[in-house]
Amino acid sequence: MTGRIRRSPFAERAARRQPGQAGRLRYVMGGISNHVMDGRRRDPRAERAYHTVPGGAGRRRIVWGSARAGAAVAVAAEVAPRMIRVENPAMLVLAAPDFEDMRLSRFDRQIIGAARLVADGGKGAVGILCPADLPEEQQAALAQAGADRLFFLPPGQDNPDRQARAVLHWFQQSGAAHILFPESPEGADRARRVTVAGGCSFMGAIQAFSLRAVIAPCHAMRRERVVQVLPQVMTLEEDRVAAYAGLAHEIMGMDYPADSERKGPEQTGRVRFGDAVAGDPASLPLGEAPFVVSAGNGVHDFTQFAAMVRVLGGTPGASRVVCDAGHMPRQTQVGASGTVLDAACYLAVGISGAPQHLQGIGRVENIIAVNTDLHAAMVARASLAIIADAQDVMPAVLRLAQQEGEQSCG
Amino acid sequence: MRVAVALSCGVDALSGRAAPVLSELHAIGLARQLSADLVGVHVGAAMPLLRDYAAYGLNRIDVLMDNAAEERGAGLVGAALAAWLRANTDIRILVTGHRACGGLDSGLVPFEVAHALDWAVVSDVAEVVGASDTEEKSSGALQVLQARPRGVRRPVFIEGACVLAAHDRTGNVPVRVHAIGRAAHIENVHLTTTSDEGQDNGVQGDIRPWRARPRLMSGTSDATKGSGNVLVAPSADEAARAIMNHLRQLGLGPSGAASRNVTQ
Repeated sequence: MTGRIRRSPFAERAARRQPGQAGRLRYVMGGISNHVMDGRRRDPRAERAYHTVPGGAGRRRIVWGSARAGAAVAVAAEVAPRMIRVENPAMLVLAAPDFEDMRLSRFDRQIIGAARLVADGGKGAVGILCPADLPEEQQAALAQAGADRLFFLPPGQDNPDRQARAVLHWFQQSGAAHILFPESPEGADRARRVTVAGGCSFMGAIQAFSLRAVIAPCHAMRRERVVQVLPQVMTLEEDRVAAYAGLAHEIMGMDYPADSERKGPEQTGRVRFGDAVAGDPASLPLGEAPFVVSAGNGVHDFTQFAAMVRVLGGTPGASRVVCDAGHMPRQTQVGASGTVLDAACYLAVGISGAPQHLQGIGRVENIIAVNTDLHAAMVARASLAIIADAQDVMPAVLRLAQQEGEQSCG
Repeated sequence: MRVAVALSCGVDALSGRAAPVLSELHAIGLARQLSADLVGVHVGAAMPLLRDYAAYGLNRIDVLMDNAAEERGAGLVGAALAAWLRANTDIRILVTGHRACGGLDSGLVPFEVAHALDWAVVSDVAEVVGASDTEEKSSGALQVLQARPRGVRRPVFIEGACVLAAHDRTGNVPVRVHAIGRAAHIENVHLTTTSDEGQDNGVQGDIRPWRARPRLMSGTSDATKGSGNVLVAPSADEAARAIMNHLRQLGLGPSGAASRNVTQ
């Protein structure tokens, strides 16, 4: 007799027997009785995984039959999440994301992705310049985005010269080959301060980024400059380089600023930033406004609409039909022939969403649509759609917003 | 208090013909908020376009004929401007555009001037809030508003001499008076700068005609799709409540952004 496990067809058959409807017996032939099935279809992969057991010498075996020797789950647990470790980098590339609101934005990830591209080309590491009070989970996000080292900057966001000096200090001390900034308002300013303070080579507003060449427009965007050797300081425009999407990197080192730098809020700064203030929504240019409330053909009472916009704290906008009819001024028109918005939220009251209008709100994340037509393009694009007559909804919104406004004031 | 405005004599992006740069017109607007005594300064050859600039309110324009800077190397323009400001000690504020429009367009010049003179520099200035009109330079505290995205304005307090770079889109364009442009005094100034004074930090590279470079898809997938919370024929109150709740989640609405300070 060999020690081999033999199938016992009768026992298997008995194990598959189940009471069915009306007291009749059924055989469940495909599935395994103690295996969770969703009842409609077999899942061959799940069955196979269920039967896989760790065998000798680390090899996995598949044991078919009713007797299941071990837990297949153990095999899955053996595969630990892998991380890339860069132990001895040949070079270092720094990235200085903005960390707006202490968060790693999409643009920031793209900058780190570009730094990763350069570092991988030269077997190097990516160092991130980040504020000292960066939360833990954002550091994990940095590892996911492709960071190998962290360099903490001293606090003092309100003094740009001091920030630039700290960045330059790390750039020179770490011996990095390049430093990348986003061409955002903050990043562009910082990059240029670092460039002139350090006397570095510089290229700004790069539109095409690769290891072989970087390309940026010049001569009023009528020509472009192609540079084969990557400059020391570079700023990249948004959406030009893909963010890093590979395996997470392990953060191998963190460097903190020296104590003398970390403390001294010496009042030598000639430039000091105050607290930012949101603009008055009623007078903001439409392209800059964060919250736009827009009227379309479904709106008849424009006095009421204006009152609602004022109470909601939005900037008034309009569709082309409304502007053509003269109910709203031409500069409020949203869309292809009007203004392209950069808002965070767009409330479309009685707008069905012509393609030309949708072009104007392409970058808006949150859209609220009030429309009578369930199948309107604006409703399909909206994150909240109300299928109702705009003229009925507006007074209710006005009333509710006035109540809330009084509560928050009082 | 005299205020200088740096003029780059740019070209129009569409036609390629010489035209005033919008952000430099904003710069003239800022300078007019600061003082009535303005002087324009241009590095390079004198052009008829300078009269166009002067029509926005400059009585005098100095043209720095610097033979080294004529190649418009980025570092050399900054060095020439710094040398001119050193020679004119009564000027404590230089206002520039966002970036040139027709040169290398790196946007480095204001920073270079400030670095060379050890002045303060502020970029993206939208408006001047308060300037001390006192003549003594030490107490010259200046408050300007810096334009940030989405209509946010950040006050900036500046001590002493400074370079202000205007925002390229936000700002006011002063009224153009043709007669002022005709009457403006345009003067050539010869400066002798040592050629190695300006650091040449522009990597030169090849110049080609511009072509549009691809961008990643900017719309995130959930933004174009819409999460599809649809309320069909709700009562008016129900609909209003849904809208207000949605706005509150985004931090907008009557108790939201309008009254709140946004730090960014």
